[in-house]
Amino acid sequence: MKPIWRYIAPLVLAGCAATGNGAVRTLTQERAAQAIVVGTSTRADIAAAFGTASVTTFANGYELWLYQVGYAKAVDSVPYVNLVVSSADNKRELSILFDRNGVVKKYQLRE
Amino acid sequence: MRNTWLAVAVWLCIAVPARADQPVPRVEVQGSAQDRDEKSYRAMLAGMDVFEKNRGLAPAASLRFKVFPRHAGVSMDGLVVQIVGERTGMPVPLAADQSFTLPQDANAAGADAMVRFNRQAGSLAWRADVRSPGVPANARRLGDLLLECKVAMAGDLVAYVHHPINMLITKMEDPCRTLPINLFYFADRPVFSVTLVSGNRRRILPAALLHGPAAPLMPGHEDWIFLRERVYTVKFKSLYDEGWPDDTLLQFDYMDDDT
Repeated sequence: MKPIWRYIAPLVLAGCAATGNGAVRTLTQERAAQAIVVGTSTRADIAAAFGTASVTTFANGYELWLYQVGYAKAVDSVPYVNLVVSSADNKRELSILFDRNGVVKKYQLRE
Repeated sequence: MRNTWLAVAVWLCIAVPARADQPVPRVEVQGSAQDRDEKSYRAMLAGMDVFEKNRGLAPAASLRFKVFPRHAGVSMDGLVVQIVGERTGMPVPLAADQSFTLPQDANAAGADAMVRFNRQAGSLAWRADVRSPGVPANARRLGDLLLECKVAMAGDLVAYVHHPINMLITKMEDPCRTLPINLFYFADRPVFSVTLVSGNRRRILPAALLHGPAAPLMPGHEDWIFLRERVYTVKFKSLYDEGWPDDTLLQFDYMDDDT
């Protein structure tokens, strides 16, 4: 019998990797305000500055890009593991909301 | 003992997340009387009883029940709700926001009556709606939300995987306050961020608690996915352990608010 960890471990390892290019680790509110301009910055601008995000697309046409330092949100969906670790324990994350035109509507750096 | 609790909580967490499949649009079909979206009247009365017993959490609040569409294609126009038993048929007034209250009727409770909507089973997400007066329109009160969770558990309102352990948890004395339950709440509008506020104390909720799990495992058993952009979760145990009081407000920054 193959242990369940054989299947879960890759998901956990993937979840442990912080999303993006690591820029959020040292991002300050001031530098965030320079890099992210509400009403102007596009998806391409954000991807260039912070790398690949965890993306949630909503039925209303909005899109949320999430950069987490610590565990990625995907780990919260892994049975058993989600009791031991949770991305809710992360101390630092950057959320960026794009409107239907792909332009930044809001952002929030949680630290 | 700790391991036992861990096992219990593990099963609950398995039940709550679901898979990342795109929600499948459904064309609404009026179900037969045996296939309507309904809940046990007696169970909902039990939820009302829990509300009365826990009024200390929200002394001036009132309790209503509320339904939301669970799938695309579920029309909320022309919605009708009744208490229906073998010899009972009692209309229940439904407010414009799809909320309602239930009368106490011993005959209906004794006859295993159902609270039944004129929609096919699985069309609606059912919730308790507890509101204290004086709470700003863009906020919810922590004690109100905890009370909603307690009523939902006692009233068997929320969809979940009916594994025996999960069913046991919903019947426990106080699972909302003591276990890491993921009960999904619906904000009034699509939500971008939630901030806890109590006096001068503020904390932004982590993104993990918004919009549900990234990769739900069993979407067919979930009732929140269609309204994902409005979903948030509250971890009552950790918040109360950290000293956040019942009067704590959860302030919403909605997606369409101006910054």
